[in-house]
Amino acid sequence: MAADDDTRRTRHRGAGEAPMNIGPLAPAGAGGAVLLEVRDLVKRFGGLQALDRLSFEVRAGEVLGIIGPNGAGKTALVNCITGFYACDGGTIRFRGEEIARLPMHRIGRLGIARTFQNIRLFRRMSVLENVVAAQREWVARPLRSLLVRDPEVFRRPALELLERMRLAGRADQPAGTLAYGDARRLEIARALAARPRLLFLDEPAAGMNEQETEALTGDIRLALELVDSVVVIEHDIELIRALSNRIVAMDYGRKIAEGSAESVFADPRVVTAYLGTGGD
Amino acid sequence: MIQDHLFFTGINILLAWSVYIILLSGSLSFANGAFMAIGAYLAGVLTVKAGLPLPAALPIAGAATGVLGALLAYPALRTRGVYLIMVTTGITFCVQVLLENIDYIGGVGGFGGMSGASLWQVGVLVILAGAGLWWLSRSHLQRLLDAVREDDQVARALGIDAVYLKVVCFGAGAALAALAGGLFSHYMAFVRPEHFGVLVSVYVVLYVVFGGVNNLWGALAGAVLLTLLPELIRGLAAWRPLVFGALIVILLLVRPEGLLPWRRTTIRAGPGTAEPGKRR
Repeated sequence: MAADDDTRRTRHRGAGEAPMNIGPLAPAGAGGAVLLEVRDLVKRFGGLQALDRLSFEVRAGEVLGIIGPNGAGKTALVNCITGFYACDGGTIRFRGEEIARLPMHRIGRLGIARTFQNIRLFRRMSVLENVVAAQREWVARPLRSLLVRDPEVFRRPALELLERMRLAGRADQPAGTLAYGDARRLEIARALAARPRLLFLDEPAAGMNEQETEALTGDIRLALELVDSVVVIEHDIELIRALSNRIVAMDYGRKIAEGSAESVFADPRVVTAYLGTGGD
Repeated sequence: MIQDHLFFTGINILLAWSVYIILLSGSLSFANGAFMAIGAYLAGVLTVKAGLPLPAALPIAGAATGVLGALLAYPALRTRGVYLIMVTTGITFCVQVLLENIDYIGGVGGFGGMSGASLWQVGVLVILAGAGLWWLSRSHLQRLLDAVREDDQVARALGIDAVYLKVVCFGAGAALAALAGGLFSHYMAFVRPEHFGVLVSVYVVLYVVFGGVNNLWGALAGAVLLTLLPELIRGLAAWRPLVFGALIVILLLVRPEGLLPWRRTTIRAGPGTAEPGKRR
């Protein structure tokens, strides 16, 4: 099955493209090939311009942080890229392939996974089932999965992911009964089960205190080993600082700054967006 | 007499399962009375007008209705919740009026001449359908369907083609309802469009709600109890609908998740921790 999966991964690769590094993350600051390229993305809700010709890229091997005040359009951005919203303009290329008009499940199968700001687990299924249902080998072959009854096929890889996210002890518990922090980590484990190349974390530390956020930072580091690149959307400056190689700052659906943590947090436009202008 | 009751109980079990199959993917269908009607008439036309034997006519009617159901599902499933209930109820009304206006099959007057259905045939069909659903409940597909039912958007983001699964389930449910309809019409020898009014669709959904929506035994128990109980209290024949309604109301007050509400966990953390008898 492993060989099968490798061919499936290769199939989506552009013909002339260099092979992608699937190993552990490249060292900080390394500029790999462009994994995701967003150009002039536009999303409107009625009169509100949620995304206003936004452009950025995610390179293989990096952790990109996206910051911005509430309503800056961060979640709208994730929703557009993952197909939850149809965007009103612009292009999104993932590994060279245009994905802006693909149905959601096709985008997922190409290798983009996400977590949700408001946790969305399969609450009545067990923790283990949440992970197993997302396993990449079978999501694309539902009718053939009717013939798969051996739980051993799923158990070990799923338990490894749960182990990694410190949830192995809760495997048989209904997901709806998990504590908040555990639920956050289960969302990450479930996303990893889809074996994505690019993982979006939408405010993973929302509602957590300092210690919880610190622990989560370690957990996310462990998750990073399994994917090519991660985009973290977050308010928590410490988390962003600890994880990201590069930061994009947004306000009113536009990119207002981009670069290293030091340069972005020192940027007057970023300071203004967060704290308001001095005269107010 | 007893044979009649057993036959109609079997038909109702099949119909309850036809609703249950569609519910597996998270859609509630009030169109299964219509699919039963189409199967009843189609099988009747094939035996009476085309001279086919019943064992040949039945699968043809089932397959044709299944395809029709899938075709109807594609636009119908763009709606959800209450709107899907309205759309599927609308299908039931439309089919009834359609049958009333086709003179070829007797219109309002009805269509007769069918024969050859017997108790053992419905028994075989119940066993086959039950075995299929039991197999499904232990396959990986059950988990994919559970994920779709819990949150179809998240399932799609993980790469599961939720729309496809919903359409397949709708088609399968329609086919099973049509098989039940075909047997019904060949047992009754004569059917009229009014046999398949919207009440049939509602009753069948109530069997499933009464018995429990989370496993195949709930639908079975609901169909058996609600078919036979009213017969046991024949002295109250005139009050039958009232007894029926009161039973539903009482059950939903006392056991809102139905008579047999448990959901079987499809996979557990390890052979050591598996407790086959334990269900939740």
